[in-house]
Amino acid sequence: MYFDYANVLVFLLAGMAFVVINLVLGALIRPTRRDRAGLEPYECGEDVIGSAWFRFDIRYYTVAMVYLVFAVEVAFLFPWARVLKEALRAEDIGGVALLEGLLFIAILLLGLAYVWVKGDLSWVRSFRRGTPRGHDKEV
Amino acid sequence: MSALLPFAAAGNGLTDWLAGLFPAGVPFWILGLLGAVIAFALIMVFVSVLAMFSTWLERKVAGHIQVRYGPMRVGGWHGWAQAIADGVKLLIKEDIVLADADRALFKIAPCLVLGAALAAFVALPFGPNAIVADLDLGVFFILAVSSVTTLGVIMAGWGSNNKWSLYGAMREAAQVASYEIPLGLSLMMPVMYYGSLSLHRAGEMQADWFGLHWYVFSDSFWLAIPSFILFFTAALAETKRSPFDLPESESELVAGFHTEYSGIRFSFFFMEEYAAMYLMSAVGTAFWFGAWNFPGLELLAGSALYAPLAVTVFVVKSMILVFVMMWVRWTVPRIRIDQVMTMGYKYLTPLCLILVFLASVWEWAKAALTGA
Repeated sequence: MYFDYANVLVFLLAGMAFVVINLVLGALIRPTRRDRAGLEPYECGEDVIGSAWFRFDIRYYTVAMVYLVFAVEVAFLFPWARVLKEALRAEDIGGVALLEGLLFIAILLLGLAYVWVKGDLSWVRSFRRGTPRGHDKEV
Repeated sequence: MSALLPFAAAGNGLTDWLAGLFPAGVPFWILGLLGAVIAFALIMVFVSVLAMFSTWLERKVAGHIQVRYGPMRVGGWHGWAQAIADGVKLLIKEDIVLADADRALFKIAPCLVLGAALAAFVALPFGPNAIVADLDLGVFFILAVSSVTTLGVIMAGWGSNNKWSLYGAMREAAQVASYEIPLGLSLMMPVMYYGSLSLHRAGEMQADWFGLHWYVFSDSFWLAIPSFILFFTAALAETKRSPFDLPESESELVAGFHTEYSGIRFSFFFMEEYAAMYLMSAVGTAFWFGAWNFPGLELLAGSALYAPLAVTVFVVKSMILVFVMMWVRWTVPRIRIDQVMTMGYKYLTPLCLILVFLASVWEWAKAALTGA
């Protein structure tokens, strides 16, 4: 049973090997005509302006952090959800198992409400103070 | 015996069958490795056929929804050979790696995407005795491994050194980050109901009531139906399907993260998409819609017909959900990225948390009332 996960390794490696084998197979029959234009990034036929590796406004910086927190908490909830059924039928911890879980979910909801009210879940952040032309609404 | 075999799995008839073929002296790890490779080959064939069938089906569904026929010529009957022709075409197309691309990322991305998508099939049951390995992490494993494909998509988008691809990859990162949470949370209702993470165990537990003891028909149906809707919505976003196909969004970003991929390399992303669609549909089938159970099927238990029929039932049920995914794609227009994020965080996540809350109380009530 502890070796079940060796299957995963085989699948992962064999899946990658499948990609490589197909590429090698294709290399034997496909044409290779390298011209300059074909090797440029596609920008709808225009000449390429600059590299795509520029500073990029990742708007969801705070969202990413919220995700991280929630993902970890979901990972914590899974073992609880898995054993809840048995725990509720156990003599010693039944009610505690439920209450602790509920408390955890309540804290999660509270945290979600907090970032929501703070406006961190909005894709376009609001300009809270001193913004002209009434652009102060959450979009 | 099977517990001693590395690679071997409980409920996997394959390794037992292999053990019988070889003399007793063969080291067990060889049997296990052989079993795993054969299982991979079977899954690979299944996924390839599935991807081909799904591309054809997708085009037919698209056609008929838009009052046209879709492919009609290749192969004669309703263009059934269209996907094969497409496959051959993709194989003999020139393979272009851009001069300025990050070649390593560009080349690793399809490997990672397809490898991860296939690895997730390990924990997927196809029938009562057809699962590669009944992993104890079950659905949690599937969730974890299938999110590795996201990494591949981001690698592809960044490595391409193309602005469209970059936008696609960044959207993918944002979108998956917001939908992983409702996806995980919506799976908690069935996990609580079954008291198991294993999809195989879920299938076994839905066998009562003449094969109709499905989660959606159980005493928890009022939790099952909303949680399935939430799961399905989050699954659409996770598999980058319309209306959440923003990483690809062909009408704005050319082809999104795989704009610069051509030929066979592109087809791996395509294959992954259909594999992921099937995977999510199969998880939905196994947890909510009775896995391989069907009224009357258990009358055949013990006969040679049972195993293939059970697998057929499971695949057909999953394909029905895949069809619904296609149906949604050609019915609902794509939504904006800020709407995607709003939906994920402000609607799905709180609803899921409330459902988890209710489900745990319901489990407690069931335990308290029945006293069992």
